[in-house]
Amino acid sequence: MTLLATSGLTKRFGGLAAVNGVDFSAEPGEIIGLIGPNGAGKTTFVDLLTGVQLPTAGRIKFRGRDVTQLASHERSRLGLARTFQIPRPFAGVSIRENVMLGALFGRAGRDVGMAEARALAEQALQRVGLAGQGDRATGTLTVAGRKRLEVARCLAADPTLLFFDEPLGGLNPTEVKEALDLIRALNASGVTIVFIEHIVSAVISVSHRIFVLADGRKLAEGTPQEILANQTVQRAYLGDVKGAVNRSRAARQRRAG
Amino acid sequence: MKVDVLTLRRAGDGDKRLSSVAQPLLILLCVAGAMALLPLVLGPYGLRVATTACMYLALAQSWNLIGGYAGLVSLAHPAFIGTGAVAAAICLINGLPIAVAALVALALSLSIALLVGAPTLRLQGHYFVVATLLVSEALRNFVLNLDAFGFQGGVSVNIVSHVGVSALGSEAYNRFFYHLMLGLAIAAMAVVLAFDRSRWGLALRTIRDNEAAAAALGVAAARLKLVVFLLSAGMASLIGTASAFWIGTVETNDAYSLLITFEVIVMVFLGGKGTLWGPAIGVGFVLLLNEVIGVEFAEVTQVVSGLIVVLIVLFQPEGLMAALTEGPKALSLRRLRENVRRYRVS
Repeated sequence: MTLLATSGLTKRFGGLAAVNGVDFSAEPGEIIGLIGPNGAGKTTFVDLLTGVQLPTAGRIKFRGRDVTQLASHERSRLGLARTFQIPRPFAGVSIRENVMLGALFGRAGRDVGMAEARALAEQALQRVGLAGQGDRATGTLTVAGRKRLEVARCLAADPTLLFFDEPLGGLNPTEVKEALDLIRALNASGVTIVFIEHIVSAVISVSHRIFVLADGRKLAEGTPQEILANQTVQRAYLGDVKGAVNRSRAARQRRAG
Repeated sequence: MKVDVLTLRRAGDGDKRLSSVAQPLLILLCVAGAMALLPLVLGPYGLRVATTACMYLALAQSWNLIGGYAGLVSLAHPAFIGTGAVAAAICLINGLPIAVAALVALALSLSIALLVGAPTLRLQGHYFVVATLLVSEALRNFVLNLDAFGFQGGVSVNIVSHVGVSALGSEAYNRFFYHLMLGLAIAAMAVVLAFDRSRWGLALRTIRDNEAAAAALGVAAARLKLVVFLLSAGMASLIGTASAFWIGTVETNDAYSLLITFEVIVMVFLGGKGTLWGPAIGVGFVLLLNEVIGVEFAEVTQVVSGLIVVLIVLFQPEGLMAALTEGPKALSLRRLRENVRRYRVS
């Protein structure tokens, strides 16, 4: 059975349609790379799927249930989790407490007690490679550490479908490799993954299927090989090499500044 | 799931959690027990100061829930304190029993909190502050112009003869209200303790840091904020009622006074917002300061105590609580320079 499906999903901000009539589906066990030029509507699309924003039109079905109008926290309890493009650690509480929140509130069905949440948090921290750091403050983490913390928080909620918004941004090559290994390991443990990413080589190496958005519409969809060979995608996204280099340089400067 | 069970069964883990509530609760009960005996050693003036301290502590903790834990600087507190006082007074002069009066006032305050909270809790930062300030001032003006149920807004109402304990001698009367305020203060501390160590306290702290991220992890943020706002309002209303009964007169401008709420906010920030013991330290510090300076330099009390508060906040914005846990370096010159850099408006 299809895990997640959207039909005609649309989000308008005044005259601008950031997401425009998108039909998307994810099957259980997939890793789907979501790519597209800057401003294509990728983050807005994930916001719609996770309930951070509500759509102007269209429907979202998750495990056969219509979740279009459900609030963010209700979708989380159904098994949808996400990380944010810019990690948002809760600075006022410890690393362990950050993760405990997912175990306490994000799980479906029964209530999890504090002691059990602590144990689940420890497990989740171990899975992302932050074992033994639970007592520290989030401020001590590097960018890569913060991204791992976001993943651990999601894992503690025991998600079925996990969205990553640019999990590799700001990471050095070693960290990128570790992050990709983590994504593969999570997928091997049964979590379906949808991730937005700009590093094309990484998307191609890890995705089973790639979904391309441009100007809020679906541009193409297929296996990594099909997408690489697709002329339309090359023009819209990969073709303008000079432009892409300038954009990434500008983005680096923005981040550095 | 095997690891799960193993970790859960690991010896000591459960005990540690228990002690995290049991220890402060024990301290709290011991302090309460000792304070309950204070009337034996205090004269009328001392008892009055102690009653005031308990009232401020209860108010500080009620504000700490919404302002400290939830991080929402609410100026709606005067609306709830005032309604607690005025509505209970109106009930009393119309012949209702004292408990019914308190409950009617509580119900009214909670209704106002629900009406006000539903729309304003969606607001961010300063917008919330201004919106709640307007609510307090609007309600004060409404009550000032109220002329119903034998109540004329601007005229002070004497309710002392209606308060059931008025037949008591002055010593017993003072002792009764000291114990009432002490009970409210301890209850407020217990509510905050329960929150502090629970999943809800954790959820509130994460909402304060980032509401969208907390919601994405399953926290029903809007509902939780509303519940805390109601809890805080209900506590404020009960304290307002109790202090009206204690003083024996109700005057609208005093009951809805912003000044008391400002004092309470200063106490919470000074001691440490969003902590269990911080507000208690803040209340003790400010009242002690006022007592000490008030006697020697009565005419400059406000100026001097204001200056001291400003100095402490400059050195330690997290409050005296942080200074206690961190030691003397929390009040060092280096920390002052760091804070000035961190909080500078640029």
